[in-house]
Amino acid sequence: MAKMNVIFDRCKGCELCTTACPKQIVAIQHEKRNKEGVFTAYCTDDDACIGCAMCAMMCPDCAIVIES
Amino acid sequence: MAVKFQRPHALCDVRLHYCAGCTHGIIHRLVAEVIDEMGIEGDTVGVCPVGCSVFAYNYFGCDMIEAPHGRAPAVATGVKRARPDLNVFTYQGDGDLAAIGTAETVHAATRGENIVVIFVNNGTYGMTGGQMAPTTLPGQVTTTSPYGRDPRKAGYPIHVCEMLSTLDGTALAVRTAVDTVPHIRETKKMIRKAFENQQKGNGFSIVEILSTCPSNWGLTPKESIKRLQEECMPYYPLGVYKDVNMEEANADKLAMGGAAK
Amino acid sequence: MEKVLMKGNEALAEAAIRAGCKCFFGYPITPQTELSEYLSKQMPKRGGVFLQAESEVAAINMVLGAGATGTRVMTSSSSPGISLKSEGISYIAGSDVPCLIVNVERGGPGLGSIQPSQQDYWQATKGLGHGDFRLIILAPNSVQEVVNLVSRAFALGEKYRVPVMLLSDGLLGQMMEPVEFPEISATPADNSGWAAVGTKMEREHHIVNSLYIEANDLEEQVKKRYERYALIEENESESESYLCDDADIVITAFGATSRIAKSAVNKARAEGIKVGLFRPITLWPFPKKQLLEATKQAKAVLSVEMNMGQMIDDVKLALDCKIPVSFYGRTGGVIPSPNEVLAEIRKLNGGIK
Repeated sequence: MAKMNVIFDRCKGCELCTTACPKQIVAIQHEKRNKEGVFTAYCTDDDACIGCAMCAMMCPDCAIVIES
Repeated sequence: MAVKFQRPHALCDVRLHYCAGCTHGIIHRLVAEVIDEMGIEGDTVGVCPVGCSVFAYNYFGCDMIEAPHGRAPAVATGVKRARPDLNVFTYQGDGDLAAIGTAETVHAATRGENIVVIFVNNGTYGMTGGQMAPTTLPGQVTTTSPYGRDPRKAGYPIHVCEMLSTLDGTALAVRTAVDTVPHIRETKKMIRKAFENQQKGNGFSIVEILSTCPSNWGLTPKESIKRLQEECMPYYPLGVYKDVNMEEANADKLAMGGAAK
Repeated sequence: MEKVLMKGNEALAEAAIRAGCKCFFGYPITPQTELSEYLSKQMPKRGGVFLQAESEVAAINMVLGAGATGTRVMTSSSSPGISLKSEGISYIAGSDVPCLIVNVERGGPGLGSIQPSQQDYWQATKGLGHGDFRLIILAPNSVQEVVNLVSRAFALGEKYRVPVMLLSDGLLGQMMEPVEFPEISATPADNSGWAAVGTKMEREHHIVNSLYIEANDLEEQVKKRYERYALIEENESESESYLCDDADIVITAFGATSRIAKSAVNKARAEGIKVGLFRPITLWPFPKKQLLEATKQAKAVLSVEMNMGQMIDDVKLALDCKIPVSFYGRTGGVIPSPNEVLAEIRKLNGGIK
C-alpha cells in the first residue's frame, strides 16, 4: 500500500511526473486550479500505486511526497 | 503509513522560482539529498552564480555566497583556502561557467582546487531571455542567433568535461543528464562522488548535467526532454571523462600484476 | 622596540601578517611586486595562505570568498590591476565583506608607466566600481605609517563591515626606511552573525550577497550602508597639520607627495613665507572639518599632487570655494621636486602681497 501526495500549490503542472510513472497512473487533473492558476498532477489509481517514487524523483519542485 | 520520499532537509521549504518543467529543481534536490545523506549541511558553503540559479542562496539550507558572473570557482577557492574544513560547492550555468568564467573554471581545475562544481548545461542564457550560450548547438536558434548558430561566425560549442579532463588537477569530470529516473539516479551518484572526492582531498570535481530550458527553447517540458535526448545528448555524450578513483584502482591492479581496462 | 630597515612594500606585507592576515590572493604587477613575493615566502611558514591567481579578477573574487568566512584577507595590485578588480570590489562592498586592498599606484591611463603616481585618487575615492558605495581609503606617507595603518585598516574594515583600501604608490613601495612593528591585536572582530562558515545545524543559514531583486529592498540595504558611512565620516577621518596655525598659504598634499611638499614648506619658512601643510591621512572620509580648521586664517591654498589635479576637487568642496585653491602637479610617473613646489609657493606669496 503506497500513496502519492501532490502538494497542491507547489505543483506547476509540468507533466514530467506523468512520463516517469511505470504504472502510467499519474496524470493532470483539469477540474481545479491551484493558487498559481495551474492544473495539477494526481494519481489516477491509488490502489495501483507501488510507491516507487519515480514521479517524485522526476518532479523539479519537490511537489510530490510518497508514503508507504 | 510512513513518508518514503519528500523534500530533503538541505533544500529549504520554499517555492522555487524556476519555470514549470525546468530541471534546475531536480538538480537542486539531488545536491541537497547528497548533503543530507552525507550529513554535511552544517559544514557546507555553497556559491551561486549569476543566471537563472542566482537565487539558489534562498533554496539551499547551508550557508551561501553569491558570486559575480563567472567568478564562482574563484569565490569557492577563497572559501576553501581560508576554511579547508568546510565542504564547498559551486552551482553554475553554461554562460557563467563556460563563457565569462572560463578562466576561473580552467584555473580552479588545473590547481586541483578541492571543490565541487555542479555545472548545469542547458545551452542557453535563461535568465536574460534565451541568448546564444557557449554550449548552444550548431544551427540552434536563439534570440542572438536568430538564423541558427553558425559555427563559422559564432564559433563552436565548448565540450567542457572533455576540455577539463585534460588537466592534471581535475579529479572528476563527468557528464550526466536528468531526462529519466535512471539518469537522475546516476547524476546523484556522481554528485556524491564529487563531494566524497573533496573530503578525500582528491581535487577538482565537476559534474556536468545536461538540462532543459522549456521556456527559452520554446517547447513544452515533455518536448524539451525529447529534444535533450535526441539533439543534445548525441552532441554531448554522457559519461565519465576523468575519474582519479578509477585511475588509482587501475594503477593498483597494474601494481598487483592484474590487467587494467 | 628594535628598528629594521625595510622597503615599503615588504614592510606592508610584514605588517599584514602581524595584523593577523591569514590569506593573500594576488596577481603579479609592478610596482607592488615585492609585497606579493614577500608574502609568498612568509605566509606558508607562518600559517597563512598565499595564492597567485590567474588574474586580478579571480584574485579579488578569492578575497570575496575568504572574506565571506570572516577571515582576515588581503590583495595587492597596482593601478591597471585595480581597474580589473573593480567588479569584485563593488560586489564585496555590496556584500558588506571586510578586507584590505592595497594599491601601489603607478602612472596611467592604460598601461601608463611603472613609476610612482597618484592618478588613482578619483578611482579610489569616487569610482572603484558600479553602484552607491564607499571604501575607507588610507594614504600613508612613510614606511612607518604604512605599517601603522595596515592593522588599523583591518580593524576599521571589520568594525564597519566595509572593504578598506590602502593607497600607496611606487615611491612609498620602493623606498627603504627604518621601521618598527608595534604590538597589535591580530584577532578579528566577532563575525558570527553573518559569516558563511557553516550553520553547524544550530542557526538559519547565512547568505553573503549583493543582490536585492526588489528595488525597495535594495534601497533599504544601501541606505543602511550609508548610515554606517555617516558614522565613518563622523568618527574616522584623520589628518596631519604642519605649521598651519599662522599660515597665509596652506598646501594640501597626501601620501609621498606630502613629504616633498613638507620640504618645500621648510624652505619657504626659511625665507620668511608663512606657509603650512595639511595632509589628509584618510582620503575617504575626507577630513573636511580639519581642513577648515587648518585654513581658517589662510588666504590661499595650493594642492600639490602627482596627477593633473584630482584631490583638489575635494579640497575645493570642503572649502566651499571661499579661499582660492590653485594646483601644482606632475603626472605620468614624474615626481615633483621641492624646488618646483617652492617656486609655486613664492608665486602665490607674491600674489598675496
